[in-house]
Amino acid sequence: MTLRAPWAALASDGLAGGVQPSEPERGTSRRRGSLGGRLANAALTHLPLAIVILDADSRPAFWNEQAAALFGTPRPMGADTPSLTGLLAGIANLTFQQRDRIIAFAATHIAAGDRVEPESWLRIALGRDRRITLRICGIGARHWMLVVDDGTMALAAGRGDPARTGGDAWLDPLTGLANRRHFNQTLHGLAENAAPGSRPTLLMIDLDRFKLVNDTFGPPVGDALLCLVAQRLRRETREEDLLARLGGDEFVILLTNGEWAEALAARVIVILSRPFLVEGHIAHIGASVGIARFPEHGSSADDLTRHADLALYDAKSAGGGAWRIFDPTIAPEATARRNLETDLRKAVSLGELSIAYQARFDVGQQALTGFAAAPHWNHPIRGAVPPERFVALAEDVGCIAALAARALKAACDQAARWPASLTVAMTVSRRQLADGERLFDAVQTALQASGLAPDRLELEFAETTLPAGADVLHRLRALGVRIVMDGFGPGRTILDPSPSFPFHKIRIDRRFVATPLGDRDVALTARATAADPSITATADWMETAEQEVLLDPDGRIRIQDILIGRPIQAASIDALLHRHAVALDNGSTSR
Amino acid sequence: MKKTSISGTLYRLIYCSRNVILQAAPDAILEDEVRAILAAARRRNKADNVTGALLFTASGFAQVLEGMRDVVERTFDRINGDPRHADVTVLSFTPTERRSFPDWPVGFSGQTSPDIPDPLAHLLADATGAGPRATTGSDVLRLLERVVQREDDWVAA
Repeated sequence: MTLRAPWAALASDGLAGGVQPSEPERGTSRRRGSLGGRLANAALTHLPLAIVILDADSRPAFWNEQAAALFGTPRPMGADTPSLTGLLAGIANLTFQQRDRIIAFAATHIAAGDRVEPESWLRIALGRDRRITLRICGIGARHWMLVVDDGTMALAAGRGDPARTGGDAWLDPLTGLANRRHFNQTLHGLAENAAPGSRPTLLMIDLDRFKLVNDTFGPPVGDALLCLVAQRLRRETREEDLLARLGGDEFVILLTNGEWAEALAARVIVILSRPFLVEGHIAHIGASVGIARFPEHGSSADDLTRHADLALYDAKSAGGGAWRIFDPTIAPEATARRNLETDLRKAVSLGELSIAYQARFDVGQQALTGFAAAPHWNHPIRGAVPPERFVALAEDVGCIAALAARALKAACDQAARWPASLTVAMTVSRRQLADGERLFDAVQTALQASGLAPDRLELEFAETTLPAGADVLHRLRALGVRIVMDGFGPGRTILDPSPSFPFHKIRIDRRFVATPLGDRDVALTARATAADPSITATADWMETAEQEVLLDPDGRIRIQDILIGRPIQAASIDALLHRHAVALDNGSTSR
Repeated sequence: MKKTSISGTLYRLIYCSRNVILQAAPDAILEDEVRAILAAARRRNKADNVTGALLFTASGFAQVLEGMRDVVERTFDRINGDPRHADVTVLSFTPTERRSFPDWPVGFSGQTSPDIPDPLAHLLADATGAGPRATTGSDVLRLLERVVQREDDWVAA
């Protein structure tokens, strides 16, 4: 800060609450006013903020020393006061668009008078690592004070390097890009003060497969990768566009004018799909981009953000590596799904899902044999969300593995506290089976942590999910876990003459025998079962005595267990066990 | 979890990519573009103590870069964004005991004549497509060791 511009007082109606500005540095004979007034003037001079007083026509009437330094313009001399445009032109790296935004910002507030919200302000990025914040408020009746905060001034005033003194509130500390706060402020400013005809556009960017890299190589590599992503994105954006990291692997580009948004989106996908070398590893990721354009896709910052996010979601649903422009016609449906997804992710990560247990009852022995455990989601507003709805969604959005691992662990912990004759059964989804390694790990971890005997855990696989994971089924069986084919019937996988699926038990699909079981079906099932005599066929859909009669009582198809009662929470199990105490005793003596 | 290697280890990177100079700029003269690429690479690599070799044909590029790990990573990311190539495929990125091209900032072999078979044509098809025979880093390394000459003479020519 080499420029030491003397400051001047021109306003006639008393600025800053009646203080008469003077020229203390010059020490002229015009100095006057009270001690308080002089101190106020001195304070204004040394304030590490640039201050410009504007009149009702946005003409600068006065600016302080910091402002003179920022604009590179000495104090106003008589009638030759430059216009605000002229002053702003002195700010290094300020683009024309940014200059126009500041002028529009000032004009809007001046025109609005006292109706302007005091918190209203504008944030401008100068080049890559410098930002200024502008704020305007009315002083007196006919003047407005434009305050410009510039990080370098705080430095000059001895506040120290912001990075060393707790970081910059506007920067993402990892990548050095703008942060969410910076982005939100800029977007609000842009949406409120958009020049007519300009079309600010949002590109919401989400990395594909980032989590995989992070999980495989560890968070330090993940962080380094995010920095490389930031660097590649930086090369693709212009100075006047805002590039921010919103958190995690989510980035956003705010184009002041979005005519080339589609081309940029395509380019972003291309450059982020190229391999990365990071900390000695080769990483392959990709990107999905959602685009929303002002004003047709949203006239407020919030709408625009939400709609860009929905478009991104759309791109993600298409399998990633794609960009989408917000489509208003699909908005309501997409919003509902998006909200459910957000809630679900939150619930999974916060461990808000619980397990519901449904008792299994052995018809022949008249005894409780165990419980079928299923994830249960009781949302504070939505109420109970049916498992078929959220489990499918969890599969789509890729949080099924985390959900299932938690559920397995909780169910095993619970079952380990039950009498040893009781089993716990869980359904394994197709997506889980496809990631066999992870499934195996989750099962092993849950068993070890709980101490549950492996043969008390039954894993149920729908027939339709097969034969994706024959290999992992064998490994699970070797672990001692009981493998159950659920919903046998429609696909008849088991009729394969060389059974490669190591099942202990087959549950017959309700539809398969909902009508009286024909001889053919019995024969088919019996033949299949006979291929491995250790396989038991059961039908837990049997809820009435009539249906029971339909099965051959002496054949291999036995009704071993049925589900009774409603699913209950773990806490209610003790009471139920107590009620069935006799049956339990019977059950254990008969073994 | 793999241990993250120290940034100071010597690494060798081998990658190939498709030449899109003429798609990006139909009027470009290939040789001039390559001269420009080489001159810039040579200047930078010398400063960064990066050595290596570049094979350039009408269909693509194959390059070996050797240097300290973080420098190679940085160099690659800069090269990666170059609009003059596409379908960048990393064939190998591993620590190495010694440099294969110790004296050359950018060893170079150019081939723009349509009469000679393009050695990169099948390589690129293999590496970037889902061909049955995947091209390995050592294939490319051998190829480069065979054909690459010092670029100084060529640039000066």
